[in-house]
Amino acid sequence: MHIPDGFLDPKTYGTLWGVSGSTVAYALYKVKDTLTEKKIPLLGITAAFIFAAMMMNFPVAGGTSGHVVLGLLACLLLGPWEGLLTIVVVLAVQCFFFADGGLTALGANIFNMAIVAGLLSYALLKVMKKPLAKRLGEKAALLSSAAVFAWLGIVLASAACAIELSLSGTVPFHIAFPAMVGVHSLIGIGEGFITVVVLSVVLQTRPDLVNAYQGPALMPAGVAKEAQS
Amino acid sequence: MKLDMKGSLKRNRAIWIFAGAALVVAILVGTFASPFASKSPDGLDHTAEAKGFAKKEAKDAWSYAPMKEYAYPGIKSKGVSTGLSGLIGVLITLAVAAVVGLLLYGLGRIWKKKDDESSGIPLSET
Repeated sequence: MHIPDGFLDPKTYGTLWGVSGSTVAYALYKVKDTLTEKKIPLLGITAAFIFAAMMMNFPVAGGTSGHVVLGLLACLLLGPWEGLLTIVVVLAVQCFFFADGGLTALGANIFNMAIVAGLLSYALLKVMKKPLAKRLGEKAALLSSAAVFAWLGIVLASAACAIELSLSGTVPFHIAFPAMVGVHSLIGIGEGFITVVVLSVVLQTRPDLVNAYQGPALMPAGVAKEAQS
Repeated sequence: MKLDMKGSLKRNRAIWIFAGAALVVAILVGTFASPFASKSPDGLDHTAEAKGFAKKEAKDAWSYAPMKEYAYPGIKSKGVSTGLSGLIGVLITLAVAAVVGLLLYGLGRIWKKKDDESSGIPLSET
């Protein structure tokens, strides 16, 4: 989903540089209250893991491949603003070291993958999770809503990408939109799957490291298992 | 206070162990699995080819990327070239994110200190 240079016109990429730049600036300001000492190694490790995961293109229908973005996962693990910055770091490294995504389009790529697939889908998840947690319990509510909103985040990001391409006059909206949303509704299934797998592994081993988990007081995995049986 | 310190150290040690394990996974995926990733164009590239706007792609505005297309230059084997660039990418990302985290944490502490000094009475009490 990384937009290269040339696909967007200056008014579109300029606007998105402005929107993304100010969102990132706000995130940098916000994390001063939430970035604890223990989050620093986790920030580095999450970014490194997401970089590796984004390299793993998997085949989807018709000679196309897709890769995960894991913007929602980063927000769930670290908190929304730290999660946003994690994806921004990954996108910047991809742009400056690997020419994956253009420099002019970096603002747009941050908007699509860090803000829409990360921050926005996190905000939507927060709304939906609360009533769900009352019925299913915190853990099941978190995992099921993560699956849904990880998928939706990718689909919305691809829709945003299609809108940007058509605003730039690169391709008409009625052609870009169904093509992009169609293929990404398949790629989003992979995103949902990987998000849930990683989230449940972390919940199983170190639930205290999942920022979005607001369940009952936590015990180490071994103790919890003993208590259950 | 003493107990608190001990508990915090213990918790942080566990976090470092967890982080280490996650890093091993990231390095293994980035190095040894990445050469086996699908080479097909991704969703956007495929759409660009199918809908005829792939030709609009311009020269890179940033032309100094050392490992374009995830290929470490000068290595004949594509697999090794991809794997090596993946390994380097994982380590660069780790370093950049950790430095960003450290800087923000440090700045946050300086900021908070200033706040504490400038406001004598907490607003919440009034």
